[in-house]
Amino acid sequence: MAWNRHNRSDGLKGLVHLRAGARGNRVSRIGNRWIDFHQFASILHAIREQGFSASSRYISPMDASAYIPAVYPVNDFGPVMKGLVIGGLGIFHVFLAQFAIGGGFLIWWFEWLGLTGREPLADRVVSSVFRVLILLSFVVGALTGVGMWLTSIQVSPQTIGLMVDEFHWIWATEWIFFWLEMTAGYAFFRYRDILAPRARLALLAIYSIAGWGSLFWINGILSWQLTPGAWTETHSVWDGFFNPTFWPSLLFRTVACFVLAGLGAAIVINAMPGFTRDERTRIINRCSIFFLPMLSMPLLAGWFLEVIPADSRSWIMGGSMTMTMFLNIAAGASALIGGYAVIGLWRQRLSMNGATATLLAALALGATAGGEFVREGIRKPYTVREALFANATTPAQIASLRVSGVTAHDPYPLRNRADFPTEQLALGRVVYRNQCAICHTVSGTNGLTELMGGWSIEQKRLNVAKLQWTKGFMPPFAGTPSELEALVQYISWEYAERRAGWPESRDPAVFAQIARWLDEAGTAPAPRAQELAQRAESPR
Amino acid sequence: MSALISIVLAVDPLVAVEATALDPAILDAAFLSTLPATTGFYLALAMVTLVVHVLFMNYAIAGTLYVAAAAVAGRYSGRSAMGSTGSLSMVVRDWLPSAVSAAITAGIAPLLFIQIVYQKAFYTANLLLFNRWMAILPVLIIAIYLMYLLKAKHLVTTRATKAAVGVGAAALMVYVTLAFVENHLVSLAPSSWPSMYESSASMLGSALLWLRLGMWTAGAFPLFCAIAAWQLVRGAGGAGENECAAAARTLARLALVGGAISLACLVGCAFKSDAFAASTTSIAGRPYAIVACLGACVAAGAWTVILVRQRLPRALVAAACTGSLLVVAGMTVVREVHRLAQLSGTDGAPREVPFGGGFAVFVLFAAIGLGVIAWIVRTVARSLPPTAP
Ligand code: HEM
Repeated sequence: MAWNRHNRSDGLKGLVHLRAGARGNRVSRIGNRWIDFHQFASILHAIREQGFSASSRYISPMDASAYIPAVYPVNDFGPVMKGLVIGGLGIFHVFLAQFAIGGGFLIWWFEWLGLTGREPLADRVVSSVFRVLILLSFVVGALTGVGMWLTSIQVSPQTIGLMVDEFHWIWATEWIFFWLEMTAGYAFFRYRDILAPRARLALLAIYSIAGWGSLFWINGILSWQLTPGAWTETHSVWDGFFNPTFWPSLLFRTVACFVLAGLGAAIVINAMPGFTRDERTRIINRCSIFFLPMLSMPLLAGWFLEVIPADSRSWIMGGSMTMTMFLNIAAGASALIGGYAVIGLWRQRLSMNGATATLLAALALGATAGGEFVREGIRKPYTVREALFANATTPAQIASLRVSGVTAHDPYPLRNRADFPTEQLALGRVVYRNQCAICHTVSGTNGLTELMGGWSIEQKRLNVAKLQWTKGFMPPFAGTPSELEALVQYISWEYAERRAGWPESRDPAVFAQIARWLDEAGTAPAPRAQELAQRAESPR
Repeated sequence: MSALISIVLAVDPLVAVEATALDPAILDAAFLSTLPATTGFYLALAMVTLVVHVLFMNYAIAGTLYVAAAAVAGRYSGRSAMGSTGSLSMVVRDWLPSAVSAAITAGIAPLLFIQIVYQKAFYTANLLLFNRWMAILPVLIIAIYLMYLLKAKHLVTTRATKAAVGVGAAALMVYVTLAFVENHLVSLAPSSWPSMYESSASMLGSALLWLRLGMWTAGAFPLFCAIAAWQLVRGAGGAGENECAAAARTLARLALVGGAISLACLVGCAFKSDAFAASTTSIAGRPYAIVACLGACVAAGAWTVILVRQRLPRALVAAACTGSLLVVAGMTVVREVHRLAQLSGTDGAPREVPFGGGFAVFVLFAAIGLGVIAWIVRTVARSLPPTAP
């Protein structure tokens, strides 16, 4: 029998295991460190001598997953950047999920107010808001959640694969919380009228805690992507889970849940018929307690900024215009909501009509969008920091792919091969597909023809060879000099609107120059290389 | 008709690749015994959780089809005044959105474990299907809202709109089923992946696809009928003895006809796919195929007696439920034997995975979770008005 041998830590840490024929019989091992390119090339040579094949059969003498990325078919999203697809869905899902989580607590609180006789209108509030919650969160919320998973597979199967490999028991635990949330939610929804008051409160408590629990679990996985912390060394699930940004982002998101619940309830209450103006104002003022935790947001944001990596911080502090802008949108929108809600409502001087509540909810959507964009953006050039680059290669794999080539392992032909007049242009397209398409399009959003079409051919070669230095949030180029040249020719050809008679570039001097630039650039990402350089320079 | 015949006789894009031969080591040994322990453990979990998914999913597929048919036939709303279908369709309509939610929630666990064991095959199939696969999300959202619409008496009033909403929801559910079936079949054909990618071809010309769809769709009825019978017996929607008696014949017919069509499609699959036939009769698959056959006999026997007696005695409903569950469990294993044997040694082979951290925490919360869910069920059951004996 044969199966795919999967060796998680090898691929991630850059360990290379050599196996001689028999299962698990290690011949040699290179320690847990960044692999030197030349060393690696010689290892690769040795492996080839032993008859290595990239086949996934277990009997392979070498664990392929250590240095060859798993190759998947790549879909073309047309002019839409893949990040926008996952980001757009993510914003929508996070917004709904946070509303649902906060909404659970809000309804629980109103149920309590009603049962203790503090709020005579509580019963109506509970039934209306809960109906909206069930209709939204159990349908669109749940399916956009599954959608996040399926979209992640479409965008970067290697990333979600790594996350599943590391955290499947955490996800399985979260799944238990989904069941709890669903069972308690439907039980309350269907049987509220016949249940005893204490049972109703208990069901709502279970529903709310289970909802927040699912946030607790997923937050550990998502924050690990940005700050894997000690996991990088230990590979312990709990080191990864309780990573440096775990608590600030959990608390921040919890506050966001409360705010969204307050705003959502204000919209529903305004839309409900049968309340007098005074009644509406009173109920909405009761909801305003849910805005109060916003006061802690600046503090939590500061804590988050403090613990993220320095290079990530630099992107949002002016290093990247777009990311800085999105941070400002998130902060500005939150400040506006906070200003209005906390000062106005908490002091009970203002009411909130439907239009205002909707406007504030739209601002909250803007804040969520800004926040999620920043969260996604500052991970670059990684999807899992220190472990996996955005283009789905591990740091160790970059070195090997510079020898073997990124296209050599890709069994998928081009869909429209006839459109490419030369082998080189076709190769360039395959390189683009493997290396660039995750963050760029050819001429749509973040289009390469737009970004680099105007550069001279020399500039293109240099900037791609030293990709991580061209922009710090890009990964090092993972391919051979001839693949790099093919990519450059392909982009130039696209920029020239696919001009006929495009010549092949075969000058050995060009390839030699590219090889030198690739060597100069090294295989470490820019922030990491800077860190290493600083360490080397600092007095002992 | 001739088009249909040509599909059945043509070289099937999904079968042609089976020539890559099954792994005899898998077929000739006890199921799971050939896998590394961790892989076997994850695969077992994937199968157990898949059975739970199938339980709810069968209710969702067959329930929607049944409600759509009832709406088209005009036997839609009301209770006993509308006769047997009225009461049954009311209970089913009432529970459909919850059943789909449960199917989705239950689907998450096999989705997780499948990704561990068959990462490459599952992801590649997802990617090759692309839009057709991703469409299941909006399709499911619309389907569930249509199901809620079916419950809203004041919004959907005329017979035509009821029929349109019902048929719409049913068509969407069948689409979702089709997408899962296509995804599974594509994942079984690694040697065809590059050519499938190149041509962006769909598998809609594959007879195997349609036979398998028929197997799943018609095969959803026996379990659905058993659960619906159980609901009526327990007094759901206020059903009493009259409603149970009135629904008995409909349910028995649906279950028997659905089971027979499903069996016919299964035999068709075996004719079309040597690999499927060989896996079912192999040393690894045979014991589980026998369990499924026994289950089918028990369920068919129970439904036949129900059909004759036109009543829903609890013992017979329990037998029908147990029988159908045995069929689902047995066929889930046979399905896996086929996948293992077909993918072994290919690019989509199952992976040897290290055991992940956090298992103890999962077990702890699973125990707490089960306890809490049991408490919820008990609390609700105690609050319900007593049902007629
Ligand atoms: C309610 C709508 C759904 C229907 C009608 C449905 C139908 C099906 C069918 C027919 C299969 C078996 C496919 C085959 O063996 O050929 C299946 C398998 C499966 N379903 Fe569902 N499904 C639904 C929703 C979901 C959702 C939302 C998820 C994920 C959260 C899910 C997860 C799975 C998984 C993981 C499998 C096993 C796939 C494999 O073994 O390769 N299902 N489903």
